[in-house]
Amino acid sequence: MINIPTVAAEKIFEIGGFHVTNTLLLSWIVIVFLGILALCIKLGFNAIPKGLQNLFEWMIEQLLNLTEGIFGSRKDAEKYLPFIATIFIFVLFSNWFGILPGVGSLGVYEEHNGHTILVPFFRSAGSDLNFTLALAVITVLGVNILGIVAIGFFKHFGKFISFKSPISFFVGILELISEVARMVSFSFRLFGNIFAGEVMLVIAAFFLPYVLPVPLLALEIFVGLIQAAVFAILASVFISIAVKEHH
Amino acid sequence: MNEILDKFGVDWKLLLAQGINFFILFFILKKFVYGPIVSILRKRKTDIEKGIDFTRLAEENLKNADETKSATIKDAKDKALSIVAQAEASADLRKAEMLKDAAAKRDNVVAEARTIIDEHKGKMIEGAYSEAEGFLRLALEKVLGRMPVEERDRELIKDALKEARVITNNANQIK
Repeated sequence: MINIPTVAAEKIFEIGGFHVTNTLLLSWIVIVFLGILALCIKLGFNAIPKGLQNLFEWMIEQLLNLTEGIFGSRKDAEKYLPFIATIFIFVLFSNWFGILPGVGSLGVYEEHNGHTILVPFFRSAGSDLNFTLALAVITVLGVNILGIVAIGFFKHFGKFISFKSPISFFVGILELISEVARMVSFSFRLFGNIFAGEVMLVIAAFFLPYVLPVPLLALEIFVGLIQAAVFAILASVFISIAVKEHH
Repeated sequence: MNEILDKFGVDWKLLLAQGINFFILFFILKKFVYGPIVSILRKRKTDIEKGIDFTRLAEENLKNADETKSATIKDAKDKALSIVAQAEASADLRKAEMLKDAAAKRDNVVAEARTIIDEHKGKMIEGAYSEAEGFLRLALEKVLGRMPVEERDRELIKDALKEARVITNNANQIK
């Protein structure tokens, strides 16, 4: 029997009326993992890097170079790095944790509408719209807050509400709509890619087990990286636009 | 709209929970990773730039030192050559002086020797003539058989010896 993942994340348990889903559970695991990793880096921090610190230094340096290219200055790149890098790292590790053995396959069978379905204990956070939408909302809000901090409230919102001319007013309305569209595109792009990957893996495993999922898993590793990079790059671009005064 | 959101399982509590997750991770990574790594990368970059500057400076200093060294060696060589040339000239001069002195001394010694020899020779000739006079007188006395020889004979012997001396001198001069 084929168990196609459901669009909505499955509830695993409840804490005081709060339903903990399998995607949220994996998010927590990712946070704990990254937290331990960060602590290890901090405790073993050395001016001459080795091992894990080397890997993180390389990753941060690559992100800095990337954002420096977008912002045009190293100073700005360093200033906005924590926000952009957290998006990248959180999305990347959530995506990669989603294809670990046991994730999506270990669970309990439950009856739903007369069908027995597998409810996995863990699922990739990216396959839950709550995760992607939360990140999209944070990113769009973050972009606007950073824009206000950089150029001031009135200057920033001047691009949304402008009465200089009918055209600028219309452009402002379009800008406002595009902010909402950004949230939708951010969230659905990531959700669509990761959820589609999960479905594809399940179908591949059903039709040609052990063989077909292998190249698809490799593809999912790549997709996970690309989606994290796309999310972080787009966030960088939007921040770089927001923090510069427009004419 | 609500139906779509329900279909996707969107729940504000879960949204909030995921948002909180993001901020927890943000603060953890900011405190433990970004801060130290960015500062060490910045420091390393500054150190590398300083190192490159120092290397450039050291290369320039080395180049200058090489140039100074070459110039010093060239100067020293020139000076050495000049000193050697001076020494050679001085030695030549000294040699010439010494040779001149030696020649002068030699000439003096030769002249003195010649004078002494001439004196000795004169004395010997005088002695020889004196002895020859005695011999001649004795010879004449024995031949003639009478003693003593008169003053007139003595004057003859003296004249004969004088003539013999003139002939000998002429013969020496011709030699």
